[in-house]
Amino acid sequence: MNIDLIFQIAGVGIIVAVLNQLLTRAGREEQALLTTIAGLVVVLFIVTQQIGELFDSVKSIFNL
Amino acid sequence: MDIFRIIGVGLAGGILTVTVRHCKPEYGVLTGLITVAVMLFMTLDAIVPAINGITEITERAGVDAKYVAAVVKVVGIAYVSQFGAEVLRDSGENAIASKVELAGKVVILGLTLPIVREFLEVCINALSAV
Repeated sequence: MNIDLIFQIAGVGIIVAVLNQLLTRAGREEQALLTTIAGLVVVLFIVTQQIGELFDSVKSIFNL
Repeated sequence: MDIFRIIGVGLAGGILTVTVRHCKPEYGVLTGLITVAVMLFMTLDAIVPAINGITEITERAGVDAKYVAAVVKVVGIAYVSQFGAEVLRDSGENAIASKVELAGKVVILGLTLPIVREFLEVCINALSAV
């Protein structure tokens, strides 16, 4: 749970946004949608991992 | 973890969330979510000594450890359900946010019910003794 996770996810978001624009300009809307979904999957994987870690530590601290 | 670092992370995460939300709304939500998670993780380090101190004080004061454990549990549930509800409200999902809060309240109610019942029994016994 270090801080550069935030920058990683923001970076992925910006890259996917740029790629999306690039692909839509080049006339390939499907690839643009696929890149967005692929980026979303990657980011969701990272985020769910971190949220799981956070909830485990909260569970152990508050002995829920 | 000192407070300045936490505030710095919050500001940086907030700005990043706004920029990413401008280009891609779904990534804005995710950046916001991970920023809040990182900050919560940092504040957890500060909460552990506080909880230990409180439990120690109440033990010395002779209060039953069961009540303090319930209080700590309620704080934990509120802590987590508020985290989820606020992130959902940020991303515009007010309906889901209120459901998360409702779930948190119901769980807290379920937790505190035995203590309330115990308290009522004590009162009834006291009254019947009069």
